[in-house]
Amino acid sequence: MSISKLEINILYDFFDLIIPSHENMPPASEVISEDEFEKFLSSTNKYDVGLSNLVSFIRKEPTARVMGGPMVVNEKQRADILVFMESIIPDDFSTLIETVYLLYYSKSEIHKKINWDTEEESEENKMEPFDPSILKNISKKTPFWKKV
Amino acid sequence: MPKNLPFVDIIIVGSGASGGACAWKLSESGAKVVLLEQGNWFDQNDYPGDSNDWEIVSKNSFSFNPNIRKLDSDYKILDENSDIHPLMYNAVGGSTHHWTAHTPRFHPSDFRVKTLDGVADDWPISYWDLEEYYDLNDVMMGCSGINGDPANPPRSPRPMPPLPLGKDGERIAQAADRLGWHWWPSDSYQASEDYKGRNGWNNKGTYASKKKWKSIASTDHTYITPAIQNGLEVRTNCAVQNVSVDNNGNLTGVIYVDSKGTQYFQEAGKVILACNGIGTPRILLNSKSKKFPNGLANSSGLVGKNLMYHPYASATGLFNENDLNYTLGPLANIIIVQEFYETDPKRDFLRGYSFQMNRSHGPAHTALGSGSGGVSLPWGKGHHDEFSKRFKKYLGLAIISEDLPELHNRVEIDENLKDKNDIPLPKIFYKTSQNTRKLLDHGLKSAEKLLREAGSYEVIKQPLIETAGWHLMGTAKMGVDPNTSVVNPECQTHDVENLYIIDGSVFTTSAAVNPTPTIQAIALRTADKILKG
Repeated sequence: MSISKLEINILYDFFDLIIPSHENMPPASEVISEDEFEKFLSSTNKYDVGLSNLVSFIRKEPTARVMGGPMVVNEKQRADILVFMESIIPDDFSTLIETVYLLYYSKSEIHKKINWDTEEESEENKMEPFDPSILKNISKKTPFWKKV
Repeated sequence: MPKNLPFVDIIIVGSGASGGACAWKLSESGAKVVLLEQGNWFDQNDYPGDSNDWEIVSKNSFSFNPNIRKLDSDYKILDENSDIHPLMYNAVGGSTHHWTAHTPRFHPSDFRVKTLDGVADDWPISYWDLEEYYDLNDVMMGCSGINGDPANPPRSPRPMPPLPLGKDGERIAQAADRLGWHWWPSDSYQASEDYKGRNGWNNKGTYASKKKWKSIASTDHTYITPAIQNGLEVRTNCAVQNVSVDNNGNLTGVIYVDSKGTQYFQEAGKVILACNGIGTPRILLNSKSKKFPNGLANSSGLVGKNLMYHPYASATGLFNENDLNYTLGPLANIIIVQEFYETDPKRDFLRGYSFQMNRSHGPAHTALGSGSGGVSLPWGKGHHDEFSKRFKKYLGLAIISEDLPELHNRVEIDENLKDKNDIPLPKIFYKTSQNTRKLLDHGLKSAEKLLREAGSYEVIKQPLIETAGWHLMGTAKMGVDPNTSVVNPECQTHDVENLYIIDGSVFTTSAAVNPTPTIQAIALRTADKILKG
């Protein structure tokens, strides 16, 4: 991982704009801690370049510079920066989206809220065996493969 | 200088679909066969199912893409000039550790495209030459399916019944019935019941289920383990640098490097390459000598040329009933539709395509675009609504197109960029053709029609799935004429008598179905031909 703690902190401030709260769904920061984000990034270098480019972009972004740095911009300004990054550097932006979505939707508390049950032995997750009666119509079709 | 190792009868390089099958067949003869694999043994308990973070793992260390995965066993593929990213897995068993196990056969017509449609070349062998080997492979790998498909010739009884279609599969099947279109339950090398020591899938859970993963055939279990009992020797973590010849151009063996960096020369009577449509031309192009300055077996100049992938497009249908759960069951080996498989003079393209039905993916994959044409769901205020609209409620039809061979689609090597074993990296050049584009566009329209008939209220189209380079074919073409092909009908190279190629490289054309059963049938047939002399 080539991203510093400060850079992680800068990116983490955008998490709740990416996934805000909605009805019973929590915002991203409620289920993903900053430490977790850091730990995840330390497990792979897949996102290093993209996220570093985003931080550089944020630091150079005019509003952030005028305000005195990315840490002091308000929520509306952060949202504008996200929109700007998405349009200007979409590939780098997608790395941030991938990390936030992956971490958010891998949390058990989110799985419960969206009713995602991977329990293998649950009877609710059982499929009925194949029933050949469904072949009734298609079996009447004349073979149409070319005899060559 | 490499360390010399005692002579063996046969070396097989690569232990995936073809290498495993060939090794088993040859091992029955009592010959001294050594299987070299650049990866390691794979523990099925390492499949990333069941845990909450399986989607993270599948996007990283268990990605299909070696450039993302970056395991010690992987080599980088320079694919910046390719419309499609090539995929593979390197371990004993190869990519059969990382596949849906959808296993249709080629049609008889697929071997005769020049005669039928005036395009590309006919294969020098026919469907009927491969039929007995398809049958044998279905038994060895364990095929779940059912006979009677009107789009294909009759075939031997399937060893196991089909996998469940599910309510979603039945929905698509009934819609196809109403349109009068072909459909059939997919042949699959996922076991629907206990089979040859492998537990059948218990019909419970999702794509992520570890039991589902373990019910899928991989050649380390189906072929290589029994071959070891016959005397096969497997050497893992061995990366082949080149195939060696003497001054007269006669094959002498291979040079490889093990995980400690030690270089060996393994003398052999025969060498069989089974490293896929990229790995095999990479070795051949790296095997330059005074006699073969352009790479081994390359007098035709066709090694690495004619790369075919099977370009995929996808149509995703959204359904709006409240109680849907279209995540249950395997992701893709469900139903195949071959209504548009053959050339139709009324269309503006040659050859055709199959539909392969897909299910809803997990939550993170859904958020990242698997139900929205490969485009991540919007962030911000609308995110949760878009997610609820899709999660568990979408079905896809993947359009798998016949990819016609073109010389400019190719694998080269970059002499300046090398892997940790000092082996030059493969560089890919690939552009989808106009014919493919027209074919995929037709497929998208047809797929929308079927999904709407099935009740979908919205259909999202993905014109080309760039991340779908599963099938690597054509880069060491089979043919009769040494000037226009690399191997003969027995998969022996025209230029070097004791050198054979058995992976997808040898495909003359690609057909419009998943290639693994055909690759394995060719590998078994080649082994048979070698044994019969």
